[in-house]
Amino acid sequence: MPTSLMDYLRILPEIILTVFGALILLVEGAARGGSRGRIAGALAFIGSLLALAAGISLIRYPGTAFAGMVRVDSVSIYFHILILATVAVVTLLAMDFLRTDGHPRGEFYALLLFAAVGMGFMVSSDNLILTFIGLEISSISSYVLCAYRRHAPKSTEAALKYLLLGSFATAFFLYGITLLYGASGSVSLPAIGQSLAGKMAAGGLALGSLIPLAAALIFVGLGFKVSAAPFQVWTPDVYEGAPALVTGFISTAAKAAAFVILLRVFYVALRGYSQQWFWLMWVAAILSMTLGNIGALRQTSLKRMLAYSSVAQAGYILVAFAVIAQNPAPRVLPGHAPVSGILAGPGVGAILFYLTVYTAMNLGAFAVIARVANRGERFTSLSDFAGLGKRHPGLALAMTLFLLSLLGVPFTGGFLAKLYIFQSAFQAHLIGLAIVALVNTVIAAWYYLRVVVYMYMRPPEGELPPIASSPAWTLGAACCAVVVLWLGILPGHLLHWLAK
Amino acid sequence: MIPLSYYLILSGILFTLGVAGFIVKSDLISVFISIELMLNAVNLSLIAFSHYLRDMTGNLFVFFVMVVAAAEAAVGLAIIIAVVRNRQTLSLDEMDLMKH
Repeated sequence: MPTSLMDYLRILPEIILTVFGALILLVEGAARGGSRGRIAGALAFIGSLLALAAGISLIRYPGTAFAGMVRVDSVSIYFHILILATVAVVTLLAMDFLRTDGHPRGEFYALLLFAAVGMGFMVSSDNLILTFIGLEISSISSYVLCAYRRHAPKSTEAALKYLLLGSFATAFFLYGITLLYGASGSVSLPAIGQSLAGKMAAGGLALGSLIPLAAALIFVGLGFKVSAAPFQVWTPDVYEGAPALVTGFISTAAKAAAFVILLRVFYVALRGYSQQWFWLMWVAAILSMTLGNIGALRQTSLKRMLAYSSVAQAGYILVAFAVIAQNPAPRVLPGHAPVSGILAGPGVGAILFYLTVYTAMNLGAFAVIARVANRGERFTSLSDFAGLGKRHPGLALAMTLFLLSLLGVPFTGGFLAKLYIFQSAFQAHLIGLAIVALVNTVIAAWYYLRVVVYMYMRPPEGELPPIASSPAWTLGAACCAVVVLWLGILPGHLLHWLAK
Repeated sequence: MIPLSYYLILSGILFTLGVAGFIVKSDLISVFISIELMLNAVNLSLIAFSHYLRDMTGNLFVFFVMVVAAAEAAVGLAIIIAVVRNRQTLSLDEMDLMKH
């Protein structure tokens, strides 16, 4: 099948991001003096908005491109919009942070856009080779972003740990997909699903014993990327050491994209083995929720606390994965790819909703931390937030909103997101899992509310430098807050769309 | 002809050696080499499957893995240099700025 213009239209967001990323590097090299970072920032913002527009326009071109390598379906469009909006917001948030900290700016934006290219391919890939390359484009860009404060020992140490454990995880993922290729004879996800189903029906595979091993290896690899326990050990160190905005980015967009791979690989290719991988998800969900929340209880650094909290949040999402495994959705007819079918299963809608809310609230929380941490990220401990309600009522209010949403208080997006997950778990008769999740939410209340108590009921400790105003940051953080509130109060639109 | 299982077992042994090296070694460069060993063990499997299935995809995949490994090595060495400049050490045991 020759490539047509349509093929390129279906990867237009990635093309735009690549062009703008390269353009930023060129312009940054040519620009002089004060205009350097400003042009790069503007270009990055325009580029991400254009890519976002292209992502939305994908709705009009569903289907596959490049001989089935790229699949534009509702899931890929949804996550394109989510990821590209995140990139646009991070660009806004980063503008003044980069200037006051005196970092070279162009490369930051370029890497951000390149990482988004990788994530775009991760969510729309239907081919394991493309999935692998997308994962690596996004990971390698993130490693560099983590080291962005390269004269700060913590930042480079975080990048080193992220790089080593990330590559380690990649090797596992790669071994898993290799075995899957060997057992099924294909690297295309729908073809693998059909091949495995056909061979199972025909009475077993020649290399069938490799499948559970392959599934386990893929789960180890992706478990690292979404920081699910017991593969979460790197998360606290990396999230604490990396610049707060980078942490905000990799803990939201990168994680969402990795969850999409998890969904596609297990839901499309390994659908016939759901009884086996159900237990993987079940154990990982319980471990992630429990270890994440218990780890967060004794943290005094806010970034580290949110790192453990994000492990717990990944656990809640894995609950929904267990639900999916429990209820294998109606079989998709051969040749009829699961374009809408992927959304139809119970739990999938809950995952999409949760990831959207999680992205907004977690990015918002890290944005506030980046702001309060100030130059050189010196003020990130709990005591630095004492009295914030008096010193900066706006920042304290925003932080309170994001933390309450992370906790899951009614009228925030986090409440409904958790509600849908728990509801789907109860409907799937996973009572034990739902009860563990509920107990964990109660444990989590302690550490989230402790920050709020510090902000409003403790006097400020020591002299803190003033926080410079930044309109771009305010706009970015406002976007996060609006999404959290909107999905908390009027979730109808999104839910209606998800139900379709 | 050498059966497929020989290649798969060899590849599994190499991968396990890579994992063991990653866990046991405390020298940064050795750990990095262990990762490369893991990736190349996977490449061996890919080539063996590709030959066994009479399918070119596996061969193609190997090239992508090599390119990605090279990119990873470039970024990895750059990060290692940044770390060494900050800390003057190559030992992973001393990377403990963030222990709690």
